[in-house]
Amino acid sequence: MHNCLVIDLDRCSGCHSCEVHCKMQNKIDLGVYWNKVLIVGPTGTFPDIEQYALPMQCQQCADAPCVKVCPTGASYRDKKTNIVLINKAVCFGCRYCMMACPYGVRWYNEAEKVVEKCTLCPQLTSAGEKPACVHNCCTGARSYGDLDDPNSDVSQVIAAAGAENVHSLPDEGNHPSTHYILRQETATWRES
Amino acid sequence: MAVVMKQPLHREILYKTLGFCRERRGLTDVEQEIATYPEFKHATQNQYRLISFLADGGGLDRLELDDVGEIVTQDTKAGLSEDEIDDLVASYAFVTTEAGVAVFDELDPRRRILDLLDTMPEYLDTFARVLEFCASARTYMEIEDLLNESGLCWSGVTEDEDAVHPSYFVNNLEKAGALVWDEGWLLSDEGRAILKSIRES
Amino acid sequence: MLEEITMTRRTFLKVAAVTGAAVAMSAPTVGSLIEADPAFAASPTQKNKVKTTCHGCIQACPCIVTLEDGVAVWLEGDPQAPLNKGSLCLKGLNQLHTVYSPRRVLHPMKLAGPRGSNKWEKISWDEAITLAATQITTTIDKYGPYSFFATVGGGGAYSFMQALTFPSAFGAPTTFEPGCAQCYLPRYAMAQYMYGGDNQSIADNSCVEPWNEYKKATKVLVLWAAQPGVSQTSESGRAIAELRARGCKTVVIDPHFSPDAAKADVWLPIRPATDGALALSWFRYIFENTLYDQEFTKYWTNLPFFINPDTKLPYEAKEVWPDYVAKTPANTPVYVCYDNKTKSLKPFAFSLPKKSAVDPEIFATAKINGKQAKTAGQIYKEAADPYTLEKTGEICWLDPKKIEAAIRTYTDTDVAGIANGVALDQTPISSQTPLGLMGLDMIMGYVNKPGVTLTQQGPTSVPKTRPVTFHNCFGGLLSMMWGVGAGVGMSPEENAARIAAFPDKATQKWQLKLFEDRLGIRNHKGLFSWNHSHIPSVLDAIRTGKPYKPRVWFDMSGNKLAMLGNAKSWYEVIPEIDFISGQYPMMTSFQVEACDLVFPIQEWLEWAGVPMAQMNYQFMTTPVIHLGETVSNGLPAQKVLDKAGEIWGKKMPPYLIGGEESQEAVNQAAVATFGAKSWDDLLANQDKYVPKVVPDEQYWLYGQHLAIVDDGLPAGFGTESRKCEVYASLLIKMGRTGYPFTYPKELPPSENGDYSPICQHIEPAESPLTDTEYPLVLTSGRLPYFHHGTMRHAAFSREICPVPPVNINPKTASKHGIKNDDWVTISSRRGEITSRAYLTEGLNPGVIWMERFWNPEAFDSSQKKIDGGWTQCNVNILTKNTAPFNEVFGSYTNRGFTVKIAKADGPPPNIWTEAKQFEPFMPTLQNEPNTKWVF
Repeated sequence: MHNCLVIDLDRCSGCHSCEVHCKMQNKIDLGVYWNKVLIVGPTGTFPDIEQYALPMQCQQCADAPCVKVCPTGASYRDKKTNIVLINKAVCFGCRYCMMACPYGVRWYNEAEKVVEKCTLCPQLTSAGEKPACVHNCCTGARSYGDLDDPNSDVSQVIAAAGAENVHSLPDEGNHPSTHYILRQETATWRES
Repeated sequence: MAVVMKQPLHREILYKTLGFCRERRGLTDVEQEIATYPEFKHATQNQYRLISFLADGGGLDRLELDDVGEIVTQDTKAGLSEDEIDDLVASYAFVTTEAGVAVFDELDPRRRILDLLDTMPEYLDTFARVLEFCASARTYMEIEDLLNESGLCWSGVTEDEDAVHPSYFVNNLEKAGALVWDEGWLLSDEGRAILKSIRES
Repeated sequence: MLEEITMTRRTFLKVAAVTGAAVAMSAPTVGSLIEADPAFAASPTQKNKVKTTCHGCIQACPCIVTLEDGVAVWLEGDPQAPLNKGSLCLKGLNQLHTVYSPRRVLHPMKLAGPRGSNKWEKISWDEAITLAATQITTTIDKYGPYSFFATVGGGGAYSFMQALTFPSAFGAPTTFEPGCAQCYLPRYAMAQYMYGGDNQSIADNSCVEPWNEYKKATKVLVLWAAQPGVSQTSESGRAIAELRARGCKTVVIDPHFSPDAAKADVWLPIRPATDGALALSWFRYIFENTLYDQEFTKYWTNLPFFINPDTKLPYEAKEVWPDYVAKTPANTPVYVCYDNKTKSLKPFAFSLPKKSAVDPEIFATAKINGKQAKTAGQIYKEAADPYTLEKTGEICWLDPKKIEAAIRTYTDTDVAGIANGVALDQTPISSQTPLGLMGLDMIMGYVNKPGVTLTQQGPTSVPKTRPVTFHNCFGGLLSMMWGVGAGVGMSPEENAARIAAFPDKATQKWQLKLFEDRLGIRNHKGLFSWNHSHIPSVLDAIRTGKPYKPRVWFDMSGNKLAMLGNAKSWYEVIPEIDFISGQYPMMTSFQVEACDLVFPIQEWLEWAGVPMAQMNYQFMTTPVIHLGETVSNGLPAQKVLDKAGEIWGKKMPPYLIGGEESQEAVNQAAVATFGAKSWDDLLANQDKYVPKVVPDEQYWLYGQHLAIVDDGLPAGFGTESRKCEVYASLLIKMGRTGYPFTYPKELPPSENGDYSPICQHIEPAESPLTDTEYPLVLTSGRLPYFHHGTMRHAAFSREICPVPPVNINPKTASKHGIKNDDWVTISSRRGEITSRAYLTEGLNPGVIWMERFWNPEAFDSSQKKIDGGWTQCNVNILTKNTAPFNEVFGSYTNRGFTVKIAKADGPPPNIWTEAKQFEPFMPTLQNEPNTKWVF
């Protein structure tokens, strides 16, 4: 089992609603973002330009550097779901993981002195619901499910998109498993 | 000035208060004075607040008095605690500041009325008719009837861009301090004086 | 936030004990929904879910609220909703913060300092109603009824009808809202005038056919000045994402590279306010290449009619052939065309196309009664003729090839439609542009067909009898109430009989008087469609007292200083107003700077309202919580009106409040709508009763104009000719006399001459082509984090957007030494504001773009010196509210005026720029008890 997000950037309009749903669901402080929408572009020169929105959250790396560098085992991979998580009881806030994360999607919680990040909402998924950002996505761009299950939402979305349109963030050996769908007609996927 | 002009319902009250306080007045005296102004009936604030608007806006000096009526100065307060100061101050008095006097002079109704008649000579007759009519208290409807019947006023769409409703004249005369609303439109003293001079000229 | 001046909590309690301040002291009571007996405070958390409808924007997404012990803790979209499909945008979600915001006004508040001081004292409802009513009645006693005026608009509350009927109950003609002529009225009304049907606006839920998933037909959608992905993020934004995903092409016409433009097949970054020229180029290209729907244009539009060059109205057959006897009834005139079959002028009687005796020529010139006359089609063709692709490219700053690609995308399919947006209403060409855009769909035959935008839905859309339309003032509603106005498509005799039959002659006479006395109406008679005053004329009247002075103001919603064009001109007249009462869920610049009294209004989680529809699905608006003494939007006016009657000792005329009289009345209406046994039954079984669905096959209907009605003729359209009036002849009559609105009274003609019945290009009065002092053109548009003037106090929206960015092309920025994120001043001939630069290639170098804004933090108690927060970053400091106005509606210039920019030293005073600063906006009222309704 490998639970993960797949985000269809052909649909995503960059409305930031997932960001706010995430913050409300997980009670996240102002200035902290477990999920943050970036705008890539416009690239090119007016009027021949293109742009897409890129929601950024933990990429659920198959070979997660945050887990490797964590001195206490607070950053760990859930054995059943393969989701990378943080055990806040064990974290003492050294923030090595924040430096190790290639995507800058881990945040320090000043009040609790621990590092936090996207958890894929186990409080919801354990009850059979979808993560907040997925349920509420205004354009139906986000799917959540098991990449290892060919019948899951995420596997079907990836299959329907065609391999050439499925992307992931630059891989430095960490193998991010969050997938983004972007067709060339919408915009060119940017590696940096 | 800004404080006096911020709210039309309070304009004449604040103007008159500046005049009343040209000599030093105790808080109760000012409050009682304000209560006699016909405009005060429709004020949205009590006397103390209105006085405070003027004091905070720099039109009145707020004087703190001890129990024998002497001014409590900064010197007297020096070294005292907040509670001690509270105990020392027994009442307040107000006196119009220089700026307040300047505003009072500028808003002199005689000046305002003359300005009005100067800027609108074409309406001199109409203004005079309304003033004359309001020698005793008149309802707006009565004034409306007067002007409509005399053909001096517009009601309804017309080709004439300058046409106005009867309320236009009432509004201007009130704003100039010539008419005052006391459960009916009535000449002010200044309005009466101007009417007299119009008649004589 | 609100200063309880001079009184500490302790003193207050002491005083209250003495005076028996009942309201302040009364124990919190429990709302009908939530059982939160304090005795059970220690018991485990009670969780429940309630279905309601979001009112964060003018679309309304069904959603589900999770409550914990009566406190709303979570919002999510309702998966049963056919459009948002379980999603909810951040504007909707913000409600969890704004309903519990420390900024809420929970009790009537009376100003306790000078205007602008933001010092308030809590007063009872009775005191508040008495104060407002006394001030209104006294002012009316002093200056007559025309001294009263009411306003609405600005976001978050939509008492449109109340804002009309409230002043009229006092015998006053003045009402306005910042939108109206600047938002939706022109597009709404023009559809009424042109074909008596629904218009092309997505945001206003008029254009829904493209979202139809029962018959998925739309192949091309032209988004002309609309950005549904931003404005209605989870409803139409979701719908358009689905539409694109199923292969529909989009053309986007927008100066700004909106999220919808970024996904368009063709993006035309048009120079702001030149849409008339672009639309004319589409006409020209479509005429020239015979791309229009020939049968529809011939038989279902009025383009084949010959137009009398003197009257500008179509010739009727009897004018040309005095002996001609029409076979159609008197309410169905016969016009004149050139018949291709007989090669001669012929009467053109109304019928189904297959039964027509003629084959009408669209483009023709002929001598009629001794004069050279042209068909409406010929007139249009000649008007469009100068707008070649090349010439239009020059005017609109567009690549002619892209224009052609856009037109071809629109024409080279069988099912397309244009959807238009608010930008078109915000310029003086607000009538000309929708004339063009609806005219285009009409000549393409994109009308009443699956997949096109100009469609009507639901069983009542198929007419069975005449009149097919009745469109003077809200579908004839006000006309019915007041017995004035003509029904378009009724004969003169029928109209005269209708007026004569109206029993209440006094009302009739009095309403006509109010009609003719409405400020600015003479020149802008299209305002009669919503019965509003012309805003700049109201401003002038307040300032000069001419022709009468509105001077006691009852505002029903929003932040007027943020939403009205040229806000400073309004700020300057506040000292001319005797008494201003406002009402809103929280304080805004307007309440702070202007109001003497503020009524507390509910946020939408507290509303009990009419059921909201998403296409053929109806959902509940459920009062989920209730804080303090807040009331529904229409209620303060009702109470004030009742009190005024009491003061005057007379019965006041009716005021339309629409089911908001009491909680009980609203509840019972909902019970009836959803077919429940009782309110408790409805609440307990929302899953069973909600939504209520009209079956698809009864809702998605087409070809309504072909239905045969009681006179044996096809229904046609809601116009005098029963055709789609691409040449809008009603505008000619309207400008001259006020017809149909003021019928039987004729008003003097507009001073600026006849209204144009067809699309026009008018170069903006402030034009970047000629302006050397202010060389850039500014346009504005929404960001997805805010709706109208709302939510600037929502912490999570401000975290994303602390300062409204001003978008500038890097080429332009570099000329001024401006880098990304630099502070920039933007100035127009009206004023100057400061904001932060966002450099983007998504904009022509000659254009800058910025969202409207105001800064509620400017009067936060932490500020050393407070202000109303409306001068710092507010685009409406720059906008132009002076002539030239749109001829029909009086729209002023909110977009497409000239500005200059310069690098600024730093941010303006009293604003917050960093996420953490917005902590004082985080919700604090979750511990407020759920109270019973006040009335």
